[in-house]
Amino acid sequence: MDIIGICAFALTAVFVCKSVESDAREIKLLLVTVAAVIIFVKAAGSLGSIFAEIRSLFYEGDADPQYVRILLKALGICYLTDFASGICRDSGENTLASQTLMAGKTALLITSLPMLEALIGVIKTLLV
Amino acid sequence: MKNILTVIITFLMVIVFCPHVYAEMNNRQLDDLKYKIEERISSALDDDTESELRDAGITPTDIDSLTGLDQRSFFASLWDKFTEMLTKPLVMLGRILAVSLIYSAMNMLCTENSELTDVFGTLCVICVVTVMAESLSDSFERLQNSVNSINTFMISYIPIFSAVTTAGGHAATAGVYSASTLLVCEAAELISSKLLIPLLSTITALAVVSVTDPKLKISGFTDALRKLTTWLLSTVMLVFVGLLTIQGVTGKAADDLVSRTLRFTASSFIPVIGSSVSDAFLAVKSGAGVIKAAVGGFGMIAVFLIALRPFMLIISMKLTIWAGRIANELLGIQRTAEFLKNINSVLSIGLSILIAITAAFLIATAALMAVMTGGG
Amino acid sequence: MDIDLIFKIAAVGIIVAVLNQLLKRAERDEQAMMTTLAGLVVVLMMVVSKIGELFDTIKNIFGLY
Repeated sequence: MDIIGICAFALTAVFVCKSVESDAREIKLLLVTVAAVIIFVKAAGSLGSIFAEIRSLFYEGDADPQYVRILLKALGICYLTDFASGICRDSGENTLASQTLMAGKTALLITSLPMLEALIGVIKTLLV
Repeated sequence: MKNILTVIITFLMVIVFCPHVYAEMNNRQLDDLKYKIEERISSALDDDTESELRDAGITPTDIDSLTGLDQRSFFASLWDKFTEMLTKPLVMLGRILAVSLIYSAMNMLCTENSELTDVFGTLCVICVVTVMAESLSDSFERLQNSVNSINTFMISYIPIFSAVTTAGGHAATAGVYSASTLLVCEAAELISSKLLIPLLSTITALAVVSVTDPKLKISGFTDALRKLTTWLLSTVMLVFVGLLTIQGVTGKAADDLVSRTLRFTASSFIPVIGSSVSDAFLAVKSGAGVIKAAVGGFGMIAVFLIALRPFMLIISMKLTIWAGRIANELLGIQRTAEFLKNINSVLSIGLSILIAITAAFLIATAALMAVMTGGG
Repeated sequence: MDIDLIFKIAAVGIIVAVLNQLLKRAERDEQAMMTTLAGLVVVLMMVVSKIGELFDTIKNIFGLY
């Protein structure tokens, strides 16, 4: 991952954005999206290795590794929702952004349902 | 006429004093007695403690095994057991740290002040709670088991120890000992069945609930409860030990009086063999005293070992939870840090109850053994 | 390289903008709109593969679905 290359790329994208802004606004939106995507994809490789480390921290010994899977899924949902709603907000569509956020929160809750069930089970065994 | 009367009175005295004084115990009867004591006491122990004691070579009736106990190897084996017990809490700590890292990864990836970060933070804390739940309920159960084991052991042990003490001539102190320790037994059983697990579980459940709702803070409550328990237990222990010592000293005085009276009567009123009868009485007392010391020391070590395992488990859990709390305070999830602090308080309460019960037994046995040494 | 993609998109955007202005001047508004749309579709086709790559990466790293 070449941080210098990524920064240079980002700056170039900004300048190009500004130059097409006055003439073709829709193109500018697509340009911004593509630039953001490319930057994330470049940085994502190292993120994968960090998550592999975290997973191995969690896996020591036996017992349920499903919790870390749920958490990482939730993290992905968080990030994607944030990305999409950020682009919406940038282009001025605040309603779209909030609706995306709401959908993201619902998706988070649905993904974490097994963990919530486990929590209720814990409280039940404690109080029995 | 006078001679015949003297002989008859001598015979009567001998018959009266014979059941209390043996010139020499039959060796076979002694071994039989030792075997019975050993069997009764060992059957009251649970398997782990029994195997540990056998490995260390400690038996209830052999005092050399107690005096020959090597301190360094004892501490070394203690350290080994502790490190062995540390593995599971360390795994739990690794999981807590992993969750904190994921939370900071999320802070890095997503923009600040989003509602998504709040939901994700709650998810992280719930994950920590469910990760710790299994270890927590396991340690509560072990705590209760060990209090029950101490109870069972002491209920079998106290009569034996009292009997040996009485045979050694200290009847009043034996009475004091059995009365006070049976009281502690009853209190311990009441605590372990009605109070311990419900109290600890309820507070843990409250801590779990307060995790999900940031407005509900129970850390003040758990701190206050912990301080109250410690204060209450130390006051009760103080009163108990004080009373026991006073009663023990007066009991020893009473026993000494009885024993001296007996010896004086024997040496004065038994014409020919009076002094040897009183010396034999002293010898028997010391002989029984050796058995009593061995039995007493064994009982103390057994209770100590029974209480040691959950003690080390809880200490290792507290250490890892403390480390996890520091890490969470650094990485920024305040709710997890507070939850871990509450759990630490709960474990402290359980630990102090265990220590109080164990210390009550140990101090009772030790105090009475110390008071009872010295011939009469 | 990815920077080429950005420049390509920028180039398409500038061409579309210039054509737009020309057609508006020549009073062919519908054709101007058509050109804008066409330019958008071209850029989208250039971009869609990148967005697919984004979703693939997220799926791989975070283990979604």
